[in-house]
Amino acid sequence: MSQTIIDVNDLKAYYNIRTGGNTTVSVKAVDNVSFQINKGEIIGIIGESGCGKSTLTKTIYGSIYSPLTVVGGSVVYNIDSKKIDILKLGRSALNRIWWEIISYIPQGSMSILNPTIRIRDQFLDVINAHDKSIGKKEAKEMILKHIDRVGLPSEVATSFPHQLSGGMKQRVVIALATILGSKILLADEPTTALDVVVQRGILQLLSKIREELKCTILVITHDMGVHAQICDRVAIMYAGKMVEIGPVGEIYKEPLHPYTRFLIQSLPKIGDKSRKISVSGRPPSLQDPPRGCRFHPRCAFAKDICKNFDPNIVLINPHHWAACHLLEAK
Amino acid sequence: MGALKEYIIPRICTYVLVVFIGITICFFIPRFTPVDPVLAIINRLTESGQYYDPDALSQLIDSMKELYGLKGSLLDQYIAFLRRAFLGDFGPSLANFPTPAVSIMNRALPWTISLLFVSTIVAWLVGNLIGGIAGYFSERNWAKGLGAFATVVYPTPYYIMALLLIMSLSYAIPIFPSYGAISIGINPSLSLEFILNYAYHAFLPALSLIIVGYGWWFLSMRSIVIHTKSEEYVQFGEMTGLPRRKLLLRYVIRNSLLPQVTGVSVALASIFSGAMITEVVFSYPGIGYILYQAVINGDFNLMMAVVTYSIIATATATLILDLIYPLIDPRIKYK
Amino acid sequence: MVVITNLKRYARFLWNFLRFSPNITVGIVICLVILVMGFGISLFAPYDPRRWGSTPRNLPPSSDYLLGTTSIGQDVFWFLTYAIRNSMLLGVVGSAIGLVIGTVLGLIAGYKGGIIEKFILLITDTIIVVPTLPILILVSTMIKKQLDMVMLGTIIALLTWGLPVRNVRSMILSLREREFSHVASFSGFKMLNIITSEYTPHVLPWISASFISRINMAIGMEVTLSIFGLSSLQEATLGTMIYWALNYQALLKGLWWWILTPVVTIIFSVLGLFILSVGISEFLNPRIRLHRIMIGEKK
Repeated sequence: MSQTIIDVNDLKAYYNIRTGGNTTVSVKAVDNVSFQINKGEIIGIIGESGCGKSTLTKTIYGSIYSPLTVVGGSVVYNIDSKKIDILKLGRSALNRIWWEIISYIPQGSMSILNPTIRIRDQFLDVINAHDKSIGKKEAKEMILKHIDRVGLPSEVATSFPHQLSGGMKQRVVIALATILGSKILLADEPTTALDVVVQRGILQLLSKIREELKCTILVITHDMGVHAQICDRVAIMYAGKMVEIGPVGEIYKEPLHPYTRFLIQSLPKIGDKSRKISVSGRPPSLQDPPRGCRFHPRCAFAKDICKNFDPNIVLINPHHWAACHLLEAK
Repeated sequence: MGALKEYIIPRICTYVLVVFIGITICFFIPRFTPVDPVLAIINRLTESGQYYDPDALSQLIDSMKELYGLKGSLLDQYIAFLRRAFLGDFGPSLANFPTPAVSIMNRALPWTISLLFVSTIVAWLVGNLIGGIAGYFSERNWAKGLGAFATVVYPTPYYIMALLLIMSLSYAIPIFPSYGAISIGINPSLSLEFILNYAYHAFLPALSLIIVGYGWWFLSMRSIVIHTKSEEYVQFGEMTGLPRRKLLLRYVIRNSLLPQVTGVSVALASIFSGAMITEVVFSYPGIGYILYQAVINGDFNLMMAVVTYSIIATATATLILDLIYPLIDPRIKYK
Repeated sequence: MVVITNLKRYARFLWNFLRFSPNITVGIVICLVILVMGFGISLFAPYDPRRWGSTPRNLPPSSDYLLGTTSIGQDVFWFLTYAIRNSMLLGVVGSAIGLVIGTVLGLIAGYKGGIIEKFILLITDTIIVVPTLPILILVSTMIKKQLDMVMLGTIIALLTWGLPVRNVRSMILSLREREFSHVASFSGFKMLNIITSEYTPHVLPWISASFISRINMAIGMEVTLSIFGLSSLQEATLGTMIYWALNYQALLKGLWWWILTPVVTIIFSVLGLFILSVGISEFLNPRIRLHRIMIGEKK
């Protein structure tokens, strides 16, 4: 019986930007999103650039900085039978949750690590910030162990970030994320900007971590191949809304939402030489989204009802739902 | 030792070249002005109406020319000047004949160096630290207030600041002396009495340098920190739950200080000039004051000595900074 | 008709510019006051304020003599207007000439590279390292009598063009490497075109800020020279005002209006200019504009 570890309910997170004078513009990056993350699974979130997936992840993590504001909804963690409403916590409480219960893995980009201190020292900073009882010697051993676990040589610990490649930095960041034994990992684009071979290594690493440490992992990416490789479930986001979510096998074999269908159809398959059709048009502005179903301007099957009413969630089976008017008819 | 060959040696060559060219410029500038200093002096002498025997006059002119190094063609003069300067001989100070200009300079040098050194370091440390913190908390009111203060102080010329300090803390509320480096009768030594007395006199001059310098370092550090604050590694560091103090010191300020170290090279020439002005205002016997006296007395040799020393001093300081910087920034190797 | 619509557009742009930030508003106001004093009101002086003995001596401010009189019989107020004019003139000349020289050399060094760049850098480093004041003192000692504002400004310019070269060059270097440069040059833009159309928006904030701060620097230098007694002491500048006041022991005699006027004016003008330059850079720099759009504090 899968247990819910994170419960996202009616979450609305907007960027409220004041542009000159007194006008405020509201970019609805996450607009009424609800879903659950189950303990021990690897769940992926797919979407085009600018669909709100990064904002969703940061909000789930509780990292909310102006001009981002949570306008409504809740994000509740279920840890050890305790419920923690992450959005209500202050800075000091968050510091005890961050990295001890849940970790955030960003893209291992150029400047993700402090350029003027060694890798080991940054690790020591983090360890010290959360658990002062761990002595320096013990901490150094921990660090070496974790660096080894992600497949890096021990010289990495005494290097500076600029001496490492992108793939190495990604691994370092993953090692850092697991060093205090967090059970939940949020990985934001862990493989973007890496070449395919390195990508595979990172994905295998994430799988290994889930096996060995019994973690729950949320992976965000726009690359569908990644989800196929490691995810158990997949959620698809479009224009600030979640349009479909379900087990990875079902989604890939029988996508329900028209947008998902286009995504799956666009995947190249070996041996398939047919011409690929891409969706016409562009993702809508999050400032002023279309009325009704947000996908309707680009949807080949749009009906009148789609233009005027937001689609409801249609449960296909207990693990799979999609938000589309076309499905309600069935 | 590829580093040595590829970076250090070219840098030192540049240094030598720069000093050389600088001194040459110093040498030639006065020679290109329409005024002949010897003639000017002669004119002043004869203007007073006294009669001078023409032979005696031409002998006078000759010896003056020799003194001023104006004998012979321009090239001869230049070579003679270089030869002597290389040996540290700038000739006798014309106003304090026959004391060599160099010895007057050497007496004044420690005062200036101590004042400059202390003021620059204090201004750099205080300005950068406070500027860094104010930059990190840039939305708070106290940060904005500090910013306003620095904004007022920064563009103020050193001289004006010195004048203001004298007017307020020497005249209006007489606490500190407005001139001198030590009271009469006290000799330089390592005794407490000397140190206290020196600090008492040096306080206002140092303060004026520190306040203006603080403005500069505060403002530049603050803008660097505001930029660094939004760097990815700072935001990531925050997400890993690091306490604010650690973030501020090790992630934001530490990375922001690096460009400020290079900034010292740039600011050096102006700090130097500032110190000179301050010395004049406070009659503080450093090389700025010496230069001022030399100007008033038309003491050409002493002026040349001071100017040459200034060039060498700033060039050397810049060189040292450039050579040290790669040791501080792990990203830069001797390339 | 078209002229009027264009004028209206400019007027609206100007209005937005002035309201953009308090920095700009305050800065512009201060600068206007100064300009009006120096270039407007000074035209109405009833006599040449430099002339000695035109007024009774040592009078405190009154309705007859707005800012009092000096020990040599000059009206402080009218003298101030002339002084502002001359100091500003010097500041602008010194700043502009030096900036032009520095920017051109920096552009060439940044774009051409190679031996030309190394050569320019060598000369520039020399100029930077040489502390301006001693040389300035040296030169002014020689040609004290013939020093007028324009000449002094030029000399200052010739000693301070070093810094712009370094800054412009590093800006050009970083701009060159950015993607849009490659795109522009691949699209066939000629170098001059690239510089004016693509680079200028990035360089403009720096040029405007630099121009104004250099004015402050030039004024500061002139004040310093005058203190040393090296400027043309017959001229009316903010620096010579201080010189004469100190010479006549204004402080000791309690003639506060004589010494305080130039000091306060100097502080006022450099402050105004500086605030204005900060405001202009903010206005022109898209990143800072974006930064100011974010509201609220961090959690």
